[in-house]
Amino acid sequence: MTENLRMKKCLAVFFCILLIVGFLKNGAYLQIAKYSEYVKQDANKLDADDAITMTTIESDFSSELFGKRQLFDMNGSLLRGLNIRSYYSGNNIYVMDGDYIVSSSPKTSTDYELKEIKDFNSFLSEHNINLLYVSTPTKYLDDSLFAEQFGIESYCNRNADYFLSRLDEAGIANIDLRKNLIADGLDVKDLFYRTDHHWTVPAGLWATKYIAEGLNQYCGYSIDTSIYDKENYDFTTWENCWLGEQGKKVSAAYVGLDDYTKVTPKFDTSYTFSTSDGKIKGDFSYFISESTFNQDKNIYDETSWHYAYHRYKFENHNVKKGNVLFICDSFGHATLPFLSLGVHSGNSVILRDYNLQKFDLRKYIVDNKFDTVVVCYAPFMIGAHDNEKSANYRMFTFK
Amino acid sequence: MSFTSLSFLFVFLPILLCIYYLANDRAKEYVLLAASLAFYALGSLKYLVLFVILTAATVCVGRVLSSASHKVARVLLLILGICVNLIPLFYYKYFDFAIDTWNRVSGSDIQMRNLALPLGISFFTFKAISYIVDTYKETIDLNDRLVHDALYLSFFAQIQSGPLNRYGEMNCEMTEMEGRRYMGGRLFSDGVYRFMIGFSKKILLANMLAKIVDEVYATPMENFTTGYAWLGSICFSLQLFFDFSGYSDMAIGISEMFGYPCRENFIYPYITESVSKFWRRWHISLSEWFRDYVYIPLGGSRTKHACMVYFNLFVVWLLTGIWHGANWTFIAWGLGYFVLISFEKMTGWPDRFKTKFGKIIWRIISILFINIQWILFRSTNIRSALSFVKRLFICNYNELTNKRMCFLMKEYWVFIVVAVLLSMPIVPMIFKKTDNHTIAKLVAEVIVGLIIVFAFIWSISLVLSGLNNPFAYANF
Repeated sequence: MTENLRMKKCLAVFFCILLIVGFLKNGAYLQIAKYSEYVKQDANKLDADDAITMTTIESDFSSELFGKRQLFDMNGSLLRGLNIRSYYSGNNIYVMDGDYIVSSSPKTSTDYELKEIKDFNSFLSEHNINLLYVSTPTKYLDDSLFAEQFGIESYCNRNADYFLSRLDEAGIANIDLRKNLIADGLDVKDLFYRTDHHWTVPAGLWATKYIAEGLNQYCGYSIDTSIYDKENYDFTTWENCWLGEQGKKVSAAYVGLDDYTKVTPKFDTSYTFSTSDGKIKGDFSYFISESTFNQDKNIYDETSWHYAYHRYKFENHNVKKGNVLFICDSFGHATLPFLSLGVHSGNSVILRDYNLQKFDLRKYIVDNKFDTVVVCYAPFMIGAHDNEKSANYRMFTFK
Repeated sequence: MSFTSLSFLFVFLPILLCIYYLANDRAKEYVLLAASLAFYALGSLKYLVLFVILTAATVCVGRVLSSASHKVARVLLLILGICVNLIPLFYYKYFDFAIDTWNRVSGSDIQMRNLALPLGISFFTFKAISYIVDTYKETIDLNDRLVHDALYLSFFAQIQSGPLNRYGEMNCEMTEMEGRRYMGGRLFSDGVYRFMIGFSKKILLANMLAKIVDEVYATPMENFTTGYAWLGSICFSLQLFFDFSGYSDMAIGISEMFGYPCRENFIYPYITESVSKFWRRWHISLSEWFRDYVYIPLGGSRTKHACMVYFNLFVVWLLTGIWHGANWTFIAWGLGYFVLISFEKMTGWPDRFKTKFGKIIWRIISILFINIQWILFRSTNIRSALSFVKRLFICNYNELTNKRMCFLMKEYWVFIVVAVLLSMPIVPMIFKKTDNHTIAKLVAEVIVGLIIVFAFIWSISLVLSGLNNPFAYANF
């Protein structure tokens, strides 16, 4: 290794400069305090929840690294250049043609989900409360597409098909929005962000019309579904303005930026919202956090634009009937505000956000006198309970 | 803390280099010892005390041994020194395995301890044994600095996975010259070069190939096709090479940055001519350790009875297997090498072959055998390893390939091709060819230098985006 000394000396100079710049620009000297805190801990309690771990110290350091975004984008560009589409398969992120991100779902028996929802339905029936299950589409309607594109089996739609057929057998009212999508001749890709697993706001509006129809059909509501016609709304679109949650994990250079469309009703609305600050009177615009649409922010650090629509507990002064509890996943952010236009009052819960030992869902339903419960889930919620570590593990635990 | 973590690169290393080069010569080893303890604490805090006790005990035994003159006392100290180090190794690495085996044999239900392995315990133990044995055999002179002995045992650059340097090789070139002169000199530049190459090998090649390997090994056997199995096994052979040789390059590089030359651990092992010669190219410091401290003391090849040579080989390969891990797969893996190496020794193959063709065929057979051996090494149990090997040769549903295999090949072909090429001595060959042509050599240096810089920066960006697996040899 003594040859090529000239080249090696140049590399040594480069390396030293890199180390010095990296050290100074990253405030690396501050890490020493963290290391010393780590070492001072009781070595036998490193497994405790509140223990400082090297993993957290390392990831904190990496997350603040100088030039992180440039390096991240450089990596994205190189992977894109090499046409590597499943590099982030460890995060269940696969990139289809058109930089459209999709994820796979393992096969599940649906036994747990069926047992829980049947039990929940019995409870609701005892209290004369309606139950409507809504299955939203996921980013692809045909599982074979996943196998064709990536050579991997995904059971997302097949799980949903099987679960819905079992709901039919159990006599539980349900809507399969995938069927409406096909009937309307829509392309599922138009309903979703490319870089995020969520559907768009216009898709949320489109879906709400069918949910409202379901409420009319199965739960005795009489919502005027024409209020959900496109003509009644203003659409404001920003192009290439944000990066979805999955996009942030793989870099903008890898998949590009996404568009966003804000939807607001043209007609007058009047609400009372129950928030942490108390009761607030307002109109539909209160659901929307306009500050999210700030394009000057760093796309990697900003809040997801999908969450610009909030899920507040509401009272709609323009409608007399209906008190709905909307049990949903995060897709609900683009649905509940529009659903609120057709019912008198309602609220929503995402079960994964609650500690089910402290929060009694059934008592909450009875105490708040909901007449209808809508469970609105994406197909990948089915089977999440098979994995204890899944963030969605409790989504079908209606307790 | 791993050599490929960004905090090692931008916090630990610059601070240490800075303090080390500012310290005067007498303080340098103390600085490195303190850094080594800090490194150990950050990597294995739970066992820091054990590590310090073992280091201190080994140094004490070594020192007393070097000054003892009574033969019996020296033998007793030798045994004591070896036992002090072997007992923790057995306890932490093999105790659960022994309980599990006993439970299976006797049908009893003794509770296992589920002990975490102290960082680098296998490597530390072997270094400690070589220190004690060399002291006993008086093949090394212990100098007057205890800190030197402690540093030899605990040096952070080599504690995790070697190379298994010998005490006699632990001489700092820097103390022989002024720090600034040293830094501009050969060894520091060599060290940086090796470190950057090792870092890139680990992240860009080993970790990329690990994506394929992990997926293949996680696939249920019924979904395997022959091509898929071959892809997984070849990629694992390459992954392991770039992982461990990448680690070794980094370890050697770091040692050299601090002025300590280090023995080579890998010399293009996959261009080997035979299975026996493979181990003169793969994990060389371990092979040499077994040769010097097990094989030769047992009598080596110079025994009265020919069968004793094979017994000695059997012991060496059994121990090599056990050293690699507490699992029957490793024992079977070690014994597999015993069988093939004994076969080569018995037949004199391939050295007896007169034709080039025969040698080439044996070379292919050797690589094939090594590739199959790695399947045993990677599998969780012998049964799944055998099923995997079966799939290499017997098609499932008459399918040679499957879609996923084609897809993985399509995505990662660049990395596979580069890995195959770099597992052969192409770069040294290029430099050799350009040796007598000034301009061509300059061009080659510039191109290789730029590729290294590019690969290093890309590797950093990959670490940043989450591609930082532990080293494959970190658990041994």
